[in-house]
Amino acid sequence: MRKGIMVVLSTIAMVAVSGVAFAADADPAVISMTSLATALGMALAAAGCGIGQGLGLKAACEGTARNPEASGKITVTMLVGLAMIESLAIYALVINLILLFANPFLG
Amino acid sequence: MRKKGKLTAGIDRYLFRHGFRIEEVRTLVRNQICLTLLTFILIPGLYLWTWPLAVLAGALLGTVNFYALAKVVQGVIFLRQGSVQLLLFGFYARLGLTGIALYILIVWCRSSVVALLVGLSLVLVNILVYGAKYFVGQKLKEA
Repeated sequence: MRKGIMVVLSTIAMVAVSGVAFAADADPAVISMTSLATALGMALAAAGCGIGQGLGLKAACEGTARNPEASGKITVTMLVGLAMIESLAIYALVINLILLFANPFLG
Repeated sequence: MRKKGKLTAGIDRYLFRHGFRIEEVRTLVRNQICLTLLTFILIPGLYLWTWPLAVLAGALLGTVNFYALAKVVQGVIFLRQGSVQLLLFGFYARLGLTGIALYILIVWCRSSVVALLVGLSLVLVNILVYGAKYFVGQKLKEA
């Protein structure tokens, strides 16, 4: 419930702030659709990456609890996985920042 | 055993002193730092274009992120000292700072996005090379 409220509030904040970022002469429909796309894009990226990282961490914790001697190898594998997943989230953030603040299609 | 260079040995010692006890993690972070240092050779290109600066900024950002992630992961697995709250605060502070840095680079500095992404992708290149090396090593061991 709390997570849902947080997602809704952050989406509203993003949509509200985005108007300031765009030039006033841009088409309002384009602005609103871009804002919506940005919010949805970041939300989907965060959700996917969060699920992926959570699953990876869960499996690593279980593996370490079952076999503490293998914790070194598990840590390396987990680090590699987490870094790859997180870079996807960073890419999504870059694209969303471009769409929101430096959109090349808005002149 | 392969002899290490002065620079890599120095980075290794620094990482060991800062809590990187697992050798493979240390190797990964060390390789990432070396890759970032390698991007400094692009600096003379700044006289002609601005994109080398974006590559460098992306590489630095990726390396700082990777370093912090490696530290947090080791802290989570081998939590013996300090609190979880501090670890979590560091994790979220890093994410926030990454967001702010990207905002400044893209919006204020108008950096080349492709160059920025190339710099950020150095982490992936490092991991893929490490993975390929590990895979080839395993295959050779089996043969």
